[in-house]
Amino acid sequence: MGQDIVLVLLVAVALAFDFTNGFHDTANAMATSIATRALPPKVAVGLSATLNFVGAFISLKVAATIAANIVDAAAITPTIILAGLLGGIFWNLLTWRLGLPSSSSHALIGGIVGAVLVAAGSGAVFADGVVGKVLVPAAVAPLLCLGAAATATFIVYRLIRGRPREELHRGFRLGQIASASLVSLAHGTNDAQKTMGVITLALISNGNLSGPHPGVPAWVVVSAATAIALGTYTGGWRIIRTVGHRITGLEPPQGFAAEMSSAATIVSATNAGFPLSTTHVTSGGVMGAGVGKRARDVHWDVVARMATAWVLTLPAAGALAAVFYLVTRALGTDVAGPLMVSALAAVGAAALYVETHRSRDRVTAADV
Amino acid sequence: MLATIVDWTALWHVVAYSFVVSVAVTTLFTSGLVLVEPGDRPPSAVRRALGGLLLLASFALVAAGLYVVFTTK
Repeated sequence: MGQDIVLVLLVAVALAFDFTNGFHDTANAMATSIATRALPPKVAVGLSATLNFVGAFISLKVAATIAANIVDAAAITPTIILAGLLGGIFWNLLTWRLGLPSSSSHALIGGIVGAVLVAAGSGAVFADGVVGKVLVPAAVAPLLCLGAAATATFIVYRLIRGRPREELHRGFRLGQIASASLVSLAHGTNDAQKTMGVITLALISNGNLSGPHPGVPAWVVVSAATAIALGTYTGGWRIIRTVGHRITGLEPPQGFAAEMSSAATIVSATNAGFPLSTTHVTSGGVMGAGVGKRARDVHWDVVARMATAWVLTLPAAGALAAVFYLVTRALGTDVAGPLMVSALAAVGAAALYVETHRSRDRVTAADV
Repeated sequence: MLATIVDWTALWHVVAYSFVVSVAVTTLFTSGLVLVEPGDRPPSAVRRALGGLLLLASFALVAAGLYVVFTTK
């Protein structure tokens, strides 16, 4: 009975993570379209939310990877996964407060791995899965997208040289509506599944699902799709401003090239079952679009700050999750600990959110 | 060690598909736009038709890619 209450709590926290994943990652699909005025901000986030919802139903390969290849379901409990989720949520909120487009996926995986390491030891972490399915694709994907976007942008500017820019830009803005929609759809197929994978992992560890290849229940798919869509609709304006304006100034041809490269990379990786960071990929695409036009226009100091956050995400989310687990264990892992820690975490998250909204550097749709 | 735990074939497919599709779609779309865009004087019917075909080809490539990806088990 106690573990069932914790499981319900875990599902709620997992959906809360999915919500933060949505608003943290709105920038991935829409920052470039908003920056080039291809779409008004509110329309952009509405479109992105709808397509994220649809995308969540298209594929389940990434969910299967998360559920089976990262940690040993037989060695963990819902309380451990709960601590992992709380670590991921807090890292997402901290980086959102700083306006840094760090990876929600790595925050989630880092959180789960950190909590499992402290609670069940290194034997319960599948190092092969973490390295082969997460770390190597994480390193390759943004570089790949950077290279593809740089090449595409270079070709585009050769093709349009000497042509009247204004009329072509109108065409590229229309193209951006399609390419940004594609990125939103791709984001739904990859990121919504990570939460589905974690909830499925919890159901397996609690004995609610069994068999050699337990599928993802339909209610998990629907609730994860809804949570990420709602989060996307709230619009993470701080990160949209960073990706759309602070990495490099973007023109519509660059926005189109960046978005096409991002969508192609995310969709191909989803098909291979790689849970890569859509944030890293789309940021790599924007950098590539800057390099393809003129490398010195890229604000490398902003890129360096982002890269630092990228490197820190896995260990930092892991460390936060480890602390959450140790506090939970001290308070009692049956029901009291998870309930109290979740309540404290909710208060902390709400305080951070309110403080950010009241601060002088508050960012809204009008600022992007 | 990495040689055995990373599915290099799958990763190579991701790299190849992503790169080729990104560059091909962007090039087709841009070429189509350049051909149909009026510029100093209106484009000829042949130019407009060719431009339209290239634009259609860029969308068809995306649609075909999505179909292949999401129907492959």
